[in-house]
Amino acid sequence: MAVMDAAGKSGGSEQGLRRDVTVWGSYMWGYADVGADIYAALGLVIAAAQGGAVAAFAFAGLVYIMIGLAYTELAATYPVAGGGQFFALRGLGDFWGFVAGSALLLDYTIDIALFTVASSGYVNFFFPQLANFTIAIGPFHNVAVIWCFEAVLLVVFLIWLNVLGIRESSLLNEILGGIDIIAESSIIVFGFLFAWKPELLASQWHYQVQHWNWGHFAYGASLAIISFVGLESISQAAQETRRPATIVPRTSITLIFTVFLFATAFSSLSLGVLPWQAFLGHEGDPVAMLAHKIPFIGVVAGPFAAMLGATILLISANSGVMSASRLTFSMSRFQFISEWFDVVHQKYRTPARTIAIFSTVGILQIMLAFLAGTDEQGHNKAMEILGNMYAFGASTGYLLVFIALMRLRFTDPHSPRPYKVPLNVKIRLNGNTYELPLLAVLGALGVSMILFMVVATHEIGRIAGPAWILMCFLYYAWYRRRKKLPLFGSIKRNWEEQQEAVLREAEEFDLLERYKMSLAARARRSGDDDAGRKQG
Amino acid sequence: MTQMASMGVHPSTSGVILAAVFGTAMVWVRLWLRRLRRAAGGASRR
Repeated sequence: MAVMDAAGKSGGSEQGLRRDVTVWGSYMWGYADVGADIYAALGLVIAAAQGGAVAAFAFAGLVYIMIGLAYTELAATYPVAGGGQFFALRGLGDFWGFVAGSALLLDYTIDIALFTVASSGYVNFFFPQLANFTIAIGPFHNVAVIWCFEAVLLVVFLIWLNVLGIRESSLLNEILGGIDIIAESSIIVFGFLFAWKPELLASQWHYQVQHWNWGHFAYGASLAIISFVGLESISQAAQETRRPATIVPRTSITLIFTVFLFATAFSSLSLGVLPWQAFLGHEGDPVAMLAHKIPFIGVVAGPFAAMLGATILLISANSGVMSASRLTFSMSRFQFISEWFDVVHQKYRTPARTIAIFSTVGILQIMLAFLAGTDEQGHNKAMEILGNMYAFGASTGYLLVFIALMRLRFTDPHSPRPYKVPLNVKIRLNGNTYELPLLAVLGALGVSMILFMVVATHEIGRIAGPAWILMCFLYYAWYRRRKKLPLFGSIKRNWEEQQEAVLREAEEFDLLERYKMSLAARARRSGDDDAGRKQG
Repeated sequence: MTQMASMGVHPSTSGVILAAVFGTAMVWVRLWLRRLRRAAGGASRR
């Protein structure tokens, strides 16, 4: 079996990734993704779950909180780039690490595609004739070429930005994200104050309960989970965050809190201001429509919400570029994909190749989605197709993360955990005490239900999602065979040395000391056992 | 309130409460992050 020196590969050498993300930057990195997800998901979820949209958001939100807490524990314990892929690798081995990585990579490339399309869609609010300009290309009719070109142009801009380096992109996230948080908060506060009618929300909910449709609810709840993709980004940022063990748990929990607050507030506000039918055909600009209905600020709400949508969706796409490039960077370091990806740009010290390649995959997805043209009512299908594929990757990746979290409690009890998922049951096995996280068991059940809903109700996602993972697996099989590495087995790695190196590089010296003491105690116990056996 | 009612806007009690709760929560988030940034400031390596 091949042996890899994981410790040597993950250290913070001169050619490694920089650690210059601040507290606010780390928070905004996550928010940049999640804030825009709500913008895109609100209309889709209301159209699907109808009067039960608040329940769909609440169900997905509860599952999201459990996912968030799982990520918080894992990212604070293992502050290395890679997120869910690394946690699955560490807990379940190479193959499942690769599966989680490819599922999340699907999400990031779609993230880039979906949000640049949506962002340019909001830009076209000011130039509607551009969005409506369509031509026929061979067998494909009603292809909106200008809108497609705008989205591609935005991806190219983001590639350029990210190749320059993390500081530039992080600054963009921070400024635009800050403006968007203030603006979204204003919409919610003004909306609740001046436009919210609790009796409208109650009557819609009452009607929905009387005419309950599980299919609609399942489709809505599975789409609602896409409004919560963002914690993966904060765990990706863990390697680049100063004092990760201190900062990651706090920023993550703050982010979970904020996002849950926004999701429930927006859905409750929407159905208390407008009947759900009003959102049909407005999947692209639900927040703009909502803002337009609010007295006092509604006058300028149209263009304002359009600008807001364009900016927040662009920074979400930017998060997608950053996260996709860092995920593939991590996957190449663990020999899931070629080392060719594992090259940092000499001048800018960024993983320029992965940025360019997987953003180009996003460009291809944009082009393919636009070839679908329009539906019977004349609405462009591009966003629907991209959104449909999104939930599959998220639910697959998150399920593996939950399983990895539970297994790591047993296989790696020595790594210090600055934060632990609450509600643990102590289990004694072979003289050792382990803690089984009940919340992770619940979370795994919840996310399994969402994955089941995706497979049952998403016509494109259930085919394209597994097809993507199969395609990635074929590459993985070819690469691992060529390198004479195990296909379903794992490369032997010295995780303990690596953990020490990671903690040292992160300057978490207290945790490093605790880790060494725990390993020493284990060595003493095993020495005592050996001595006892010899005496016996 | 009277002035708003004359403009055709009738805020509901629950809406006012929800707006206040949301606003307070967001202010708390901002203050918490600022406190966290100060706490992390000592760890700056540049």
